[in-house]
Amino acid sequence: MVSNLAKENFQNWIASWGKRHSSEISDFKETVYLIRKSPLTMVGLAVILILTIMAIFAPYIAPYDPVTMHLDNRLASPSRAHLLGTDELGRDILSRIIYGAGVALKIVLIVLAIDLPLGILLGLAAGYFGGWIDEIIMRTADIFMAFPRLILAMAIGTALGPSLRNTMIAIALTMWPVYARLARGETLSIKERTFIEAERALGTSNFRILVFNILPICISTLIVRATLDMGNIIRIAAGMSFLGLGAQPPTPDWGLMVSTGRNFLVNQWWVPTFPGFAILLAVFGFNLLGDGIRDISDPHLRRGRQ
Amino acid sequence: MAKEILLEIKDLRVNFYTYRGVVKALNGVNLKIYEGEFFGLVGETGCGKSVTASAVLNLVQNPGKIEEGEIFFKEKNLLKMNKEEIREKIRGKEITMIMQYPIAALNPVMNNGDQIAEALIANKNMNESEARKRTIKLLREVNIPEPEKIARQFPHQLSGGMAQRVMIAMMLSTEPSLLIADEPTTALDVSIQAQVLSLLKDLISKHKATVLLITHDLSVVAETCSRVGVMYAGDMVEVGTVDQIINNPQHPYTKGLIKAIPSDQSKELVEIRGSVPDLVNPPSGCRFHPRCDYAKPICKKEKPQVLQVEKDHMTACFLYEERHDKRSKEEYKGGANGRADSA
Amino acid sequence: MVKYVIKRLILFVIVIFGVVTITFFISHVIPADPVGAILGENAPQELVEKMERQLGLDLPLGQQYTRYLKGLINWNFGISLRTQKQVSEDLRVYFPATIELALLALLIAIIFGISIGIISAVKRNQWPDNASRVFSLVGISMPAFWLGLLFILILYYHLGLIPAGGRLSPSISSPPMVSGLYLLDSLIAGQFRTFWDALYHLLGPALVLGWIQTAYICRVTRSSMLEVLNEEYIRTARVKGLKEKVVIFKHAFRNASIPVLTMIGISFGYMLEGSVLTETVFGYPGLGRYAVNSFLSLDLNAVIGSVTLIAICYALSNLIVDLLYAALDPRIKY
Repeated sequence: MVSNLAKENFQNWIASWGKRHSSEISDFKETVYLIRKSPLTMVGLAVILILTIMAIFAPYIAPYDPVTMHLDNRLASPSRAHLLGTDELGRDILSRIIYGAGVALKIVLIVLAIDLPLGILLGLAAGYFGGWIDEIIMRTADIFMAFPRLILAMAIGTALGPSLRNTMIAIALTMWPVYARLARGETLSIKERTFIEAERALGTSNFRILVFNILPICISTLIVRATLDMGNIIRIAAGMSFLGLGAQPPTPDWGLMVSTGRNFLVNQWWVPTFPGFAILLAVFGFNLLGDGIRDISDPHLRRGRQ
Repeated sequence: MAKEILLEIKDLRVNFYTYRGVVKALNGVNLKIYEGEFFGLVGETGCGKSVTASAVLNLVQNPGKIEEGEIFFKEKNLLKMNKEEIREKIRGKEITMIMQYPIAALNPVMNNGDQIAEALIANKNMNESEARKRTIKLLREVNIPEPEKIARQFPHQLSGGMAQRVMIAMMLSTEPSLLIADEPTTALDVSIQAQVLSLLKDLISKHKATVLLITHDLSVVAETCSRVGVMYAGDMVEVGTVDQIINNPQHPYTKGLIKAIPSDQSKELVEIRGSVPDLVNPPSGCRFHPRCDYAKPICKKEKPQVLQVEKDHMTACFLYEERHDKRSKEEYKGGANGRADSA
Repeated sequence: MVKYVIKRLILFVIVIFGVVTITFFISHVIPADPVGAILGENAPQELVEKMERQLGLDLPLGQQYTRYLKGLINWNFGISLRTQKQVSEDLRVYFPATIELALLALLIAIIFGISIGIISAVKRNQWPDNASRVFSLVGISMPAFWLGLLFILILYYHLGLIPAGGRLSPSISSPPMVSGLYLLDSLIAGQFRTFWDALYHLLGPALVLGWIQTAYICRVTRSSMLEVLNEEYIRTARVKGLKEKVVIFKHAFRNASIPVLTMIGISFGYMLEGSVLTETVFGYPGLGRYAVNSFLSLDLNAVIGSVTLIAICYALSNLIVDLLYAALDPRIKY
């Protein structure tokens, strides 16, 4: 059994950890309080939660398999057996939408997994070292930003070949400049602050300054921005799939479902409409959350409270 | 000899409805300002002085609300007037206000001259060219060099002191009866402070206006004002002439403020112990009692009423009341339960 | 200020150059097998080689690049494999259509976006504000192609309020070419029937594009106004006894309008992008639909032409926004 001394030590350690990090803890408590106070943000959070549950537990929640064709039951209108009807290959639309949540979330996560580290790296380098490194990185960013996102994504997607994987790469390539710029901006503003001078006076190496002082602030700013962008990523990916450049059949991607269902718009309106509605709800949820988080992290709002 | 009362505030209560709860910012403020005087309103940050000023102009910002009270200006109750009347007749014409951060208080995309002229056109019915000429004259009056050039410039091109002069020109242009100055020199360099204050004094006597000067700095008050009101946490705790307040302070808070002024003789900085209370849950009874060295049990239970110390000198404190009043000493010690609890 | 303009123009030139290079890289270096896509997998070798020569794919990369640049300067992208016409010809036909659509949508967005935004800010947290916030949030979350489909379903199939597609009905011929904008040209020529017909065809796509942009502009107007309304100088304006309308429009909105103008410029850029999906859904013959078709059929020349044109327009609108911003805000010293 664990000795009493060890237990006591552990308790002391927890108590002292609480004291040492008391400001972070109260910050966290305040954040949670503000989130709970804002109903729209809660709704956004709820939507995201539902999507995540759908994504992870799809095989257990979805009433039918998303890819098996039932050609004898094509284009059935919504009924008790198929709550949202069936598509042109007899597949249950509700099930495909549920599985589609996973596809959508996967896209968001992978795009951000590429762009956040890439953006931070390039932004930190550009901001901290300045000079020609800064010029090259920023001009390249400007050039990428000179294309409208969808057009660039389409171009890259076409060049690489239509597939979900290439769509993700394409979208990631269109969005990194934003994060690089943001990271660079934060780096520049922090770099000039006096506490960095103090660190340098103490002889801290560049690397340590970057990692321990500048990086944490960059990360939090970029994450706030990322939550704002999540909705857009889903929307652009859906657009790509709609045009045929993204997910390929039989993947249950929402954009693809709208595209293939488009031919049946008139008489079997449910086929393209419900997947599109799913896109709307998902993007809406992410935007609500993103807005909420941005409002909460706004220092004006926090400062205004006594 | 009897001076007219220009502004009288009676029992003003203002609440702010915030996320954290209801902030009881003003707890029944009473104030009298006579015509032609320079009245100083002193207190710590957060005591409600600026809220009082806003209430006079009916510009209390959301989420604040004036709950109760009366504000008599030239014998009309401002709080009973409708918004349009106040805007049309009072604001800009009779009562104006200069603020703490002058550059922020000027519209960044309008040039300085236009902003002053706007006040003249709206309130004095001048046309544009008249207003422009008057503006230049006003700028000269406030000792701004090259007024034509400054008038064409924009606020961000001005220094703090110059911007405050522009504000003073703007707010005195319409010859108001009452000028409220809300911490006008707090954000300025000390040397500029003195200049602006003396300019203000000159202009006030020239235009025959009355001034309500709000500040947290007692020394500013001592230099410029004739009468002083001391506020603490939403209450007016003492009012009197500058002489009376400085030489014969009655309220413990006032005494503390005076002691806190650093002087050549003192070796240490004397402070008032404790900190400003949370106005969502203010202390019961007299709001100062947690920080008061002389607090008695009754201070926790009841709010002291305003009593007269000498002519024109009032205070609201049980300490004074105990010494000079008819209530038995017992009432100050125990209470209905006879418990002798200390503060 | 002049220094800033020069710096910005130089940046513009660099960006255009970079855009052109990247487009080249994307279209010449990356694609798998454009010839195979066009001729099919089993085309005879000589045909493949002929095609390769025609497309210039047999030359070394450097020469391809110079050939490409030379063509670009002369605004010559070669022949579209799909339409068998000069790409620059196609562009001249389709580009004004998109501009017209974008301008009409922008007009709708500005009128509704700004007014709703101002009302929202002034009546903060009351029902007009809450309703507009939900509306604009839905607006920016809306997938344009889905909204377009809904419009077509309801307004075309069920209500017959908008036409099937195209810029004009089959029976009506296009007005004499002045600007390429049918609305403008028909008014100039006095052909009112043509004018209404063109407007009728623009309605669907313009409303969809406009709805989404209204949401963006409304949000920016609202947040900008809210920020400005909290500033000290608004207090000063009220203390001066100015009428509330004057405070809101002359003092608040003039300061708030700068970010709004920036957003309008950005909106125009978004619309170049949005036109892709909207035109495809509505069958509106503009640059966006042309671009999509070129991508899908791997029509290299057309891809390069349309992407280059779109990117130039986008970069140009960003440039104008930046210059406008610097001109409008007297606080900016560059």
